Amino acid sequence: MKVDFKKAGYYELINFSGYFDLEKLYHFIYKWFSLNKYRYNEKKYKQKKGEVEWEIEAFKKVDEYAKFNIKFELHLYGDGNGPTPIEPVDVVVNGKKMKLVKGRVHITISGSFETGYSDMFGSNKWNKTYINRWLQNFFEKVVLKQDIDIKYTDKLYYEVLDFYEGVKKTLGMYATGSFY
Amino acid sequence: MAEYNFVLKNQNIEYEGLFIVRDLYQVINKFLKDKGYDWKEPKHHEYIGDNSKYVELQLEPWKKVSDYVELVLRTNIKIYNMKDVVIEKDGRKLNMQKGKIVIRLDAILKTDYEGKWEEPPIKYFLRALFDKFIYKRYTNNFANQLKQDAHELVSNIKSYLNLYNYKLN
Repeated sequence: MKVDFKKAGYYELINFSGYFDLEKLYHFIYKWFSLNKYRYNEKKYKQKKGEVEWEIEAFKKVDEYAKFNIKFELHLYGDGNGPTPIEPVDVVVNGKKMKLVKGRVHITISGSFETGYSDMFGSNKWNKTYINRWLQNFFEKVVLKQDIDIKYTDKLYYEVLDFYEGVKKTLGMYATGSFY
Repeated sequence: MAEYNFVLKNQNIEYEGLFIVRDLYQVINKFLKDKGYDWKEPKHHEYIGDNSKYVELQLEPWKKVSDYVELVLRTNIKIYNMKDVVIEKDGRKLNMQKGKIVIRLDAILKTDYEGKWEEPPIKYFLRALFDKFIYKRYTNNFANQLKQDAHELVSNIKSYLNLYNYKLN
């Protein structure tokens, strides 16, 4: 079974325009994934004519049955005025000189979790026969229903929210500081 | 797809003056957490222009009150012509923002949020009968609860914004 938050309408979208520290954002993302025991894979990094497209997919095996996936997509482009977005410029912030990037950034953060995922050394055992699929369906809808709602869905949802808050703070956005 | 019933529509709050965006966000966030709502922030836009900034936030906090009914408080916050200002009060410097805030709140009662009674048409018909005649009393109770939460949220936001008007005056 795979539950995709993005398809269900639960994803976070950030549109930010202004100065921000791109290097700090890179460090934050990798540090967050490491601290929360996610293994990440940079699926796409495209840089062309002052535009950057970047995609990271991270996963974490919660137990032998469930796996969390978080997808981070960033699209950085210029606002038509000033230098190209990937060129850092010197900006004085609170009396300190910093190298910041100016541009528009569009970020999407979404999560999904998978149950009965394929083992590295074999195929997904639950999909082999009709009886296995029926058993898995029964197991998830009757036996494991509460676990799926509380242990997996809720946990992943709040991890995605935590990641989202961290990205907002790193970008220096105004509306931050969630109590969740 | 779920059935959406607008219990309250277009509850508007307009304010022009001084405020702190972070504090306003935290007031709404804390209120909803205390009321047992789950947080959902589908959109967060911040644009920094030459002379001013624009912030747009879309919030859709939700609460499942039963396996059939869900309460949603859809809030749209727009801040126009926002500028950072430093206010000195009682010898202390405060970093605040100045601008125009427009908040729109909709309270939505969602029934059959899992979409189990959507298809086939006979099930849809049975759902409509159930909502109108059998479950009406409970739906009305939930709607009243939602209305109360929405009014409380509006008054919390207004109290917070008025606080700066009186404090600085």
